[in-house]
Amino acid sequence: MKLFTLFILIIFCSLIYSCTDDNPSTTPGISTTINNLPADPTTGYDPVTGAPIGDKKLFTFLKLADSSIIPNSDSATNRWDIGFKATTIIINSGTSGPGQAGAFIFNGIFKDLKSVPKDSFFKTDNFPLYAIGKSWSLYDNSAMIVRAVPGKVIVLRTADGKYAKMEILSYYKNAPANPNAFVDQARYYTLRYVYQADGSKNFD
Amino acid sequence: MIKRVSLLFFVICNSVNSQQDSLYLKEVSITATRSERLITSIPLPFQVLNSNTIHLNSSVRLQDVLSEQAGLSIVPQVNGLGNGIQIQGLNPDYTLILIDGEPLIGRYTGSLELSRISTGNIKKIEIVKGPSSSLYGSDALAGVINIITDQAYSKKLNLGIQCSSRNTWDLNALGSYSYKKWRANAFVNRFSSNGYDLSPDIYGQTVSPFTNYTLSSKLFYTLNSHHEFQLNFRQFNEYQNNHYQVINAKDSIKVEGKGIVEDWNVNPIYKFICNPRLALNASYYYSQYKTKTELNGLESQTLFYKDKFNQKFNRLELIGNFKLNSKNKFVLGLGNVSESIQSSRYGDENAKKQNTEYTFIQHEWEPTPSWNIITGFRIDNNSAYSMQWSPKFAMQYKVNSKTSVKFSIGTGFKAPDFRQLYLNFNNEAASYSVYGTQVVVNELLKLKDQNLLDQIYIPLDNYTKIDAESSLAFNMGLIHQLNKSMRFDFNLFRNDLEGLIETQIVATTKNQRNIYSYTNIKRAYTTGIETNFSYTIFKKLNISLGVQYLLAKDKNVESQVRNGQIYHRDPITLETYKIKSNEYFGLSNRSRNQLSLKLNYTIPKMNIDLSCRFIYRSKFGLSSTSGNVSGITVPQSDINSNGILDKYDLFVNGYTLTNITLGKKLGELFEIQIGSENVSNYKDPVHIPNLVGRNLFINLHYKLIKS
Repeated sequence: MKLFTLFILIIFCSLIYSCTDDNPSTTPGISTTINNLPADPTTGYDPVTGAPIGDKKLFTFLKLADSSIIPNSDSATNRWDIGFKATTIIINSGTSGPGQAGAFIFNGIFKDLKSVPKDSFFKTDNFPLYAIGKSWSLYDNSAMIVRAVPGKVIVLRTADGKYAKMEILSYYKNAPANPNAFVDQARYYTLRYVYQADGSKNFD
Repeated sequence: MIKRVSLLFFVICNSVNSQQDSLYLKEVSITATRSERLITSIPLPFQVLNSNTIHLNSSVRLQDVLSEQAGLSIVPQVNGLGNGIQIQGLNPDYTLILIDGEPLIGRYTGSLELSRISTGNIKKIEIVKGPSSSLYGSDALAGVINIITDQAYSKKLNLGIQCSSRNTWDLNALGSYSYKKWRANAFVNRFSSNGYDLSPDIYGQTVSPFTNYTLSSKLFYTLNSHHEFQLNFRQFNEYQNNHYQVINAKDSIKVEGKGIVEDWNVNPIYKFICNPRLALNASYYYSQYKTKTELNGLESQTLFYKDKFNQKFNRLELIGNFKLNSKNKFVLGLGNVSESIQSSRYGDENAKKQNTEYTFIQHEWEPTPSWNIITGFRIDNNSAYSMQWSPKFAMQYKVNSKTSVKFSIGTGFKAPDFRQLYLNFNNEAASYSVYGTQVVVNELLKLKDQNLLDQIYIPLDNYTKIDAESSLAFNMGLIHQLNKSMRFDFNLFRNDLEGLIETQIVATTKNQRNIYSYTNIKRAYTTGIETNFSYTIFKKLNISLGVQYLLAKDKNVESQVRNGQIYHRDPITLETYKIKSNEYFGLSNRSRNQLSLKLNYTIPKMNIDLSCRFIYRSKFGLSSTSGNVSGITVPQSDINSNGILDKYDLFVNGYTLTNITLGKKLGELFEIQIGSENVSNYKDPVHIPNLVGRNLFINLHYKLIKS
């Protein structure tokens, strides 16, 4: 349902976009928020080993242009940009996929990042060293909680060479302000991103 | 009339304090310089707690004594297993604890459990603040606490019994005897408690019931004025009866089982006094510390957890004291330490070994009676880390008979401990693993071969050997004896720490298990001021006030904050802000302000002593306490998950503890004390699990043979 609302929003945005002037460098990026993006959720944990149960060990692939979820059967295509499986995030490049995706973490305030900084170096995935890594999150061992670190902006190049910026806001269903490992369901991302469809590096 | 009263007041003060002062003036210590030295001429921040203070406060374990001193705080260990001591804002791992000059071992998770030490046979506790690595090597980075026990100079037999809340019993007997050239003493102690429970709705207790025994004895033989022999022996055994709830895989399991701690050491010493100018001291020290824990599931009765730890420590040391003339003295030492640890947390049962050779030299110079200058250094050579060179310079200047100033600068170091090198610990329940730096690459390669690695964050060829942590410290102080009844001192300190060893995340497995290892990454400083003020009114009332102000910060974080690289996100609006410099609080577990106020009131005619102590600690933050044994999850302070403590985080409230003791002597031989610790019953079960509620006690002391 939420994804559907998003879809409507995006169509609406695209309409506005197509109605405005056609100089690509001044086109604002499309701003999207995704709530509760499942990232291989579990049904529980093994009481003895602590291993997760019920997860399918599969990534959830996202296409930024229309924020659609791409089926896993299309994993070897250019259709997806970024994939989520628990806290592992991959991009469509290198050892992860055939696309030209790239990414790096920018330290700063999401809304203040107006464009891709000059001389930026986009990393690609090279298993087991991934472009995005783990600096966007902090694991609290005692509370067993994964928290999204503020000020970590993922700057992305999509599979087809467009640019976007993304911020992860929560790893728990319905993004509780103070998640509880025993109550809240993990592996549901809340994230926002700005996608620049015109191929330029500007987000505003 | 008024004049006469004030005159009387002055006279009484004079008579009392001149007595105390002359005692104090003559007191010597060897902790600070490893040569006999008058306490008043030690150019370092130095503090003595004598048996009288310990007795007056009726403290039965070491932590009870130390926790009442300003500038020392008792902090819980990383995983809630006991308590350690924090000096000048440095973690318990950085303070060396000695018993009669020999190091206490058993840093199971870094710090030493202070309740292992009974106060029943303590003569005095000497505390040197600031690094003393120039004499003691590794671990003496924040300071040295030397516990001097009874030296058997007189014939005596003392018995003591304390009964307190939670069925806690402390029984002890100390006897000493001397005959011609022989002197000997023996001390036995039994300490038992039902433990305590801060969260009754959870199965098991915060601290399970335990019983421990200490046996300590010394034998002295003085052949003649040139040769002295000494043999020390100490044994400690503890038996724990554990019951608790363990959080396992987001489920909780009730477990029970026994825990055993065994610690013993032997220490033969030979002193050769060649002539009044030259003395040699040869000593050997062997110590072993063993723990064993086995937990079974309460319902399943199957083995849930098993842990063994066995540390052995050998030290051979030779020290020479040479007096060139009345102005120049030298101390020269050399020694060898070999130690090994076997632990079920190190992957295999093989003992990990280390060997250190060291030598130190120190020059004490008194060019004029008012100046005293100490220079020295020590070299430690160990195979596991690079050679350490620890220089030190200290001086004291007596401005006049009332005032003296002190200044010292020195370095300290702490060797990477066995845990940081060899740990192979898997906490399946909380889904993380920690590997020591010597084993991490191998373990990662194994996981990679088994195709279990999901991702790594540090390329495998980027791992380097970890090195010792080091510090550079300044101390500057002033002591002023205002008049016979008033004394004031302060000390400014700054410790700059480099290459602090921290865990860092290195990989994640396909099961979403995070893998951590250690690295020399952190740079930090602690700085502050400590002041003490003591005032005696008549013979009867002594007021002493100690205050410490402390700033302890991570230098890397501080510069990141300055460069606007650390952020806070409002959980409601999701707006992100830069953290400002003044919003960064500092390192966790450090209070900015500490205060200790002590009032001792004596009624000599009635043989009554009353002592009230107030200890205050201001707010502080908690870091993630990796591990969970008592079934309570301790929430960390960093709720905005930017990795630092800032003003938006959740702090533990400041608090004041009040302890009261009332003692009465009945005749020469018998004394009774009653009192209460934590009178106001302050508790914070979730954040401060080592803070027990109100404790009531009664003490009986009986001198069977008067000394």
